[in-house]
Amino acid sequence: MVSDLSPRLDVVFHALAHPARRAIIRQLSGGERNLSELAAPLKMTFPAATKHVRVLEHAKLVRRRVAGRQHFCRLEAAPLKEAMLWTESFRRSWEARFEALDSLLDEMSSDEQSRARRR
Amino acid sequence: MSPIPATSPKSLHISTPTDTTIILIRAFNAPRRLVWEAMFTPDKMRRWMLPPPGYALTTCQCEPRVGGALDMAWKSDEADPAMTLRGKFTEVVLHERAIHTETMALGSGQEIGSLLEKHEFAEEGSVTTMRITQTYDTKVARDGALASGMDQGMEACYQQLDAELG
Repeated sequence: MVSDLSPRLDVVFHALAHPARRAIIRQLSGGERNLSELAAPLKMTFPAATKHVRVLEHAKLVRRRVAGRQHFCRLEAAPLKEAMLWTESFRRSWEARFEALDSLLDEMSSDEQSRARRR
Repeated sequence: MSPIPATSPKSLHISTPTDTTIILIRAFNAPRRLVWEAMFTPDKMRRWMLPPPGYALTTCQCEPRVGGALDMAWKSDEADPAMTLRGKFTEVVLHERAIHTETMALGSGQEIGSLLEKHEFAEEGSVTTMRITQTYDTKVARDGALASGMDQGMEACYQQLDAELG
């Protein structure tokens, strides 16, 4: 299960590993944008911004459609969900452990208090 | 060393700041002396280090002092030991910071990964925030660790889905 998931996740995590690309994703979460709208707040040249969009496209996080001379981008959430699910499982097993640790600590605290009272 | 960001109990933060590290931050409603004791005392560790499904913890040794050993073993229905974890403490500041190595191996002796684990504890108003920094040898190993709960995670998801559909 892991081995056939990892290559795809590699691409997604690589895509997420740059602040400009995360900014693009944030912008796109508000709806479809064209390339110049995406490039404007990034304080970088148009070709540089386009390169980031291409990385996101490769990870299938962004889909581009061409209308006349305009390129419109929109967010594809499915690979993001997959990446979240992947980390989520690690979180789940640690959360279970930490919940057990919570009850142990409760027990240790009350043991200590009752010992202190007896003294 | 960066300060440990205070967090509220019961919320676990996981981040992967570099390709080979995982950082876990979690707070507990207890003084750090007790959290330390729960983390590093064998009879206490047995209570919270829940084994993977189908496994049972057989050996649990932990000596949190420089040069002290960490030694754990699990058995399954098929093998005893089915899995071992061995390591050594390389740095210990009582109730504050502990660093240890660990190498996991299958019962057959085949190593399945090693990492360096750092525990740090900060106490504020009887709440202890613990930060665990795991550093793996490679990105593949790190990703493998993150994915290791996958079966369990997926199962829990399916059960949730079943409940929704039920």
